[in-house]
Amino acid sequence: MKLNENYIKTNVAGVACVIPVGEAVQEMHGMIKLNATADAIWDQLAAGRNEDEIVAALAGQFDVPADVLREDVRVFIGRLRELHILLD
Amino acid sequence: MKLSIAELTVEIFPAHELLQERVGPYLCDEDRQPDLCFDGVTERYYRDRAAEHPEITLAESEYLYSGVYFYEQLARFEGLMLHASAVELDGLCYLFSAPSGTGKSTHTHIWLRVFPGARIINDDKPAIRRVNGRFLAYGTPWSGKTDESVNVGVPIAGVCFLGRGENAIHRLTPSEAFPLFMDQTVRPYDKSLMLPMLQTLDTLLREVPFYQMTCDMTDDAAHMSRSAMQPTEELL
Repeated sequence: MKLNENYIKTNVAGVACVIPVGEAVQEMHGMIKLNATADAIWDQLAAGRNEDEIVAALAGQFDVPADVLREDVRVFIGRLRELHILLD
Repeated sequence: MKLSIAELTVEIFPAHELLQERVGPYLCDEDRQPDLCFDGVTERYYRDRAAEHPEITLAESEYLYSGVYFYEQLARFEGLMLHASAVELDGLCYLFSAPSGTGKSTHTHIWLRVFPGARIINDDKPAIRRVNGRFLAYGTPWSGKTDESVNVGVPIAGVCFLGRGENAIHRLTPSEAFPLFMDQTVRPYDKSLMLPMLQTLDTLLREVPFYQMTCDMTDDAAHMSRSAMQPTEELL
């Protein structure tokens, strides 16, 4: 799993979001706001972790039942794949 | 030729009359060292953009896309652009931003009529820069169809996103204003410019008051926006 380099995560005025640059501006005109969980998952993906490793790492950070967290990670990763933000 | 725009020395090579005419008020001493040079922006680039947009001529392409280049490069100088009509009153600048056709220019032109001494700094695309610790709005050669622009920089009192409706105005938090701003600016194509642009925007959102209003086209609307946005005595 590799993040598309044409999407940058940033934090402006306390809003965590992903913004397209370069060729990705043809694909997406807006931006994606990230909640705290999505923000943390993005950082884990950027560090090269796989789905199981991400769930394990986030279990310590968020007070959420394990099955809910696993589902959140699965859904977010699936969405990033659909948008070609997460490659292979 | 050398221009002075937004307190930057710009070297530019206009080939067509439209851009040549618009840069006239910005000409400066040829001996100055440029902060920004258009040497990488070629006739071929303007020709390719014109080919993508058959509705514009080559001269219009040069005018529009030289502006896009300038506004993207502003990111290197703590600057960015807002699609807005910028009006000055009593030494402070008030920016009204909205999609084309909403009435931002109509609103600022009510200010001109109602408030003596008011003038338009840039009617469509003011440059914004942080200079010596404060944000200023600047006139530029790129100001939309009307070419209403003055080669000055004026400290910004506030920025207001405008829509049509009954007269009402409220303050926005920085996080509320952020997506509205992103919809009305030039987003740099290159990551190396996008990152500093976002950093400048973060500072702007924290240091300058932002508002959202709905308004009609009456004088009351101008009185409302002025009284909401003008700094109170203690702040001056």
